Amino acid sequence: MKRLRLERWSGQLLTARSIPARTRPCCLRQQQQAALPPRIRFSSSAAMLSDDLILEDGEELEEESSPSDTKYPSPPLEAAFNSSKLAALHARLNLSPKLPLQTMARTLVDPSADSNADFNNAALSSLGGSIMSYHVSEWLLCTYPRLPMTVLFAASYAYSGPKTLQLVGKEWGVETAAAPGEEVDPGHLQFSKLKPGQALQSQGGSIRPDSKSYYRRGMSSRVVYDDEFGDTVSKQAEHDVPLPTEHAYASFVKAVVGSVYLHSGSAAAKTFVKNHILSRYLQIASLFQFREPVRELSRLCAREGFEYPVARILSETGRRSRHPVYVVGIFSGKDKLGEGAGPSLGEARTRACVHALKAWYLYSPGANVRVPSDMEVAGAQEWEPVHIDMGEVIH
Amino acid sequence: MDARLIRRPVIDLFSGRGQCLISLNASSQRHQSSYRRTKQHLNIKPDSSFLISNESPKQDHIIFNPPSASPSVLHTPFKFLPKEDKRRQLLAATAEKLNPTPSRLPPPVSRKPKMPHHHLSDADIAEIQRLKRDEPEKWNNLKLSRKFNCSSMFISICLSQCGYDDTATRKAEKARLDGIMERWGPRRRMAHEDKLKRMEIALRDE
Repeated sequence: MKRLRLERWSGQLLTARSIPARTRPCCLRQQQQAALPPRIRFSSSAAMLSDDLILEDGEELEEESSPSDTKYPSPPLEAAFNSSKLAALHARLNLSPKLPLQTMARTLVDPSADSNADFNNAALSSLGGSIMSYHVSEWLLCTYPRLPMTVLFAASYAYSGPKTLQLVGKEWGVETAAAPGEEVDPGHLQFSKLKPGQALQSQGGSIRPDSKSYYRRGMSSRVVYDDEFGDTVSKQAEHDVPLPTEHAYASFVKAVVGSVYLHSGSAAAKTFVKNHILSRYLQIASLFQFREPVRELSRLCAREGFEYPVARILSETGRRSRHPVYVVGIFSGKDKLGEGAGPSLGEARTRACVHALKAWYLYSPGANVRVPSDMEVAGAQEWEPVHIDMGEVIH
Repeated sequence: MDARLIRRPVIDLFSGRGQCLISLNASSQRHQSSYRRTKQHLNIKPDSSFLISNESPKQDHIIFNPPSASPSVLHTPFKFLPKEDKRRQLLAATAEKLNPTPSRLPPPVSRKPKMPHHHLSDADIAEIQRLKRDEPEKWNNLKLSRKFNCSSMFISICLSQCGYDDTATRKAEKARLDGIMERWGPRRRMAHEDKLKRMEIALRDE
């Protein structure tokens, strides 16, 4: 379905009067058609557009505006009350009645479907995205205080990355509309889909100052310049470009978190993130990949003042056979740090070193460790400082 | 840590559990041809902790006899716990009882004596570089390390700045090793590739 570019048709009119860009021209055209009942759209969390309408009073509109042009790119807000899908979704998520169905409908409209910022979920999703990434990262940092930066990025991507949020949105039972439009049920996720085989459009480059290809993109620069997953932030996201389904689902889930925050408060938003995002089971131990574990472990022991790690054979079988098995332990002084089994002494030692390093990095003060946002509750106990590690081993 | 960013398929990461059925099916396989032999085969003597003896406690108690398994990475060793952690005191109280300190440690993997290091002076290093410059064919790294009683790694560090261009030697050595690998048959080649793959897997701990 081809979408109507209503903004472009009356562009000269708007520039002449220097009206703010958020004015919706299709609302202006309503006044000429006295026969049709007046349809004033207003968003639950956006200001009404009536002040903008007054500016256009007495202005002659061009003749080519016909009743068929009164199409909106997204369903009108009164349709939210008639949608069973939307009500079911609201009930299924056990949301507070303070969160109205209009807002719920607005979270499902992507900027690629409706470029008007008063009717799409861009603002809600950027608010919800920052709330979600805050709760995920504070939980990760307090629960696993020694995680290396790469693993921290990968873990937050696995918890709140677009692929996971797509899974979450599908588990909530949200389906996508075939194409956005006024006639779509507001319970569907509306965005303009990327065609199969079509290349992802570059989003106008990144905001990094060193965006040349020959610059190194190290971990420290990712912390400074890039987003919470260590990926580049695009310079300006264009609204009308079609986007992959996972990104549309991700912005929808983030927008739901943002609307819960706006209507029910920060405690409800935190509970929502805890229940839907942080409750998922992630094997953090499988996110590690080492390059030189033996050397890294010896550097770690030197840094922390432990004795030099020594690999010792705990048990072995079939040394002269085709398939020997060695069990090697890494000892620092008399304490065993790690243990690994392998078909050769070298591999068993490597596995034991990897095991010891993972045991170091995956130290956790406990699953129910307090996070900084727990202090926002009235009458919270005094804050005990969490463990802060000096950082990963550099070798 | 590897400096690259790790991206695994999300589905794999979130589906870590649920291998119970497979192990149940595996244990219910029958290897004996008759009921009597099967029963005899499965009639294993129980562990001593399950048997009631005069030493066992008189009241109800918990028998802790876990099957042998590789230790979990989520059990932080006592040495790795930070100083302010509350488990330090608890573990220190029970450590002596649970795993008493062994009087003799197991044998180390490598019995090679360690090379002395930091014992060569600047004059020795200059001598190493002079020998290599004057007679590069005669003095290779191994011979130099034996003469100066240091590791060949240290020799290679010294010689990297001595002004001797070793690209030709490196190229010849690589050609020699490639020639040897060319003569390998399919078995040896596959064994070599498998070994490399196993080491990659060991670094990921899978």
